[in-house]
Amino acid sequence: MISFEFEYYKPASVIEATTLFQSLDQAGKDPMYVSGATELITLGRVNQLKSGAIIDLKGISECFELKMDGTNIILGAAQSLTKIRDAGLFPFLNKAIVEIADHTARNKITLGGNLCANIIYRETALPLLLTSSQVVIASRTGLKTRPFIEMFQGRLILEKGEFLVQVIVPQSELDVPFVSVKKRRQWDVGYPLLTTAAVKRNGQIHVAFSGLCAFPFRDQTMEQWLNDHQLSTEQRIEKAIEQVPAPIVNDVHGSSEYRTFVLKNTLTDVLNELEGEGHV
Amino acid sequence: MYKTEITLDVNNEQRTVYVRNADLLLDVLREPLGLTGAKPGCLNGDCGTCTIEVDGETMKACLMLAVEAVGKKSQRLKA
Repeated sequence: MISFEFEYYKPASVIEATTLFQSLDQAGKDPMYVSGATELITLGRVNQLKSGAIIDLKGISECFELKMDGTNIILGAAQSLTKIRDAGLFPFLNKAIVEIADHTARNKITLGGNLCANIIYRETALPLLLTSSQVVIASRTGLKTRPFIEMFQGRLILEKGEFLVQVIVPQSELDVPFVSVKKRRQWDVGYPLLTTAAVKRNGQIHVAFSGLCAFPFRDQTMEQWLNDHQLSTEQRIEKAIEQVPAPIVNDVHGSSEYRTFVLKNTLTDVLNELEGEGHV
Repeated sequence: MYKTEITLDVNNEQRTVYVRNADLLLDVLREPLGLTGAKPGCLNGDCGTCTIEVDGETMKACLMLAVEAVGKKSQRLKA
């Protein structure tokens, strides 16, 4: 049971939603946008999240786009992870999606919800960090399109009253070789120790992580070491691990030492996959 | 405590109930509607004992607000 009370609104357009947010904010309701609303429920139940007014984005048609237009793949932020996966438009993202929560939960969790989640994993960010994806954001002044990598600094950087409408991925990204590996302590469901996604572009490997630190990230210094072919594979990986940009998570799912061990093995697998077993 | 009147299509019947916006669909199905097929388990979306079918898709009733279910064509408890 959610103990606090809130007002519930389901606007039918972007402008209605942003206007509503502004008026509710001025009224001191501390409004919040939701699409899947799973975090509102799970965190609200334990009073870790609270709002006086909920704005449900599931009434806005732009948030449900799911198509290829000949140049780009357009993914609406309020689409469920299941629908995005079933559409099969972006295999790299599908690989990340298929291992989030379980199938029934993915019927409710949305792309926008995962990208803006409070939970540290936000795995759908990884393929977007590694491709030239863009985000369409609704603000008081209208829609704006920005590079995903610029707008995602551990979490999607949104100003008050803004919300994510769509993610746009160039169709040319479909040709880029990719790897996505999720490692758990055991079994095939549950929270991950570490998710690693990588692509190879123009002979260079680019890599992004979730579950390693308290936020998903891609780090250029780590990538520089991983692509330094004057070193052995083992040295490249060790140097890259030294450059992890924040403390490695140390929790009930795995100690930071164990995560580092798993990271080392995973990076070895990733390099082998993208460069071939014989690479030194 | 403010309650809203909503109509839900449950097991092919239109059922009108008064709910808080914060009420979970699971609680509304079990309490005012008396449909106890969906069980309260973890209440955190993990265990699946509250699984129902909404518009042809399986959903965890503990992860859905009752007000979100308004306008859904079909909500039928799984056997």
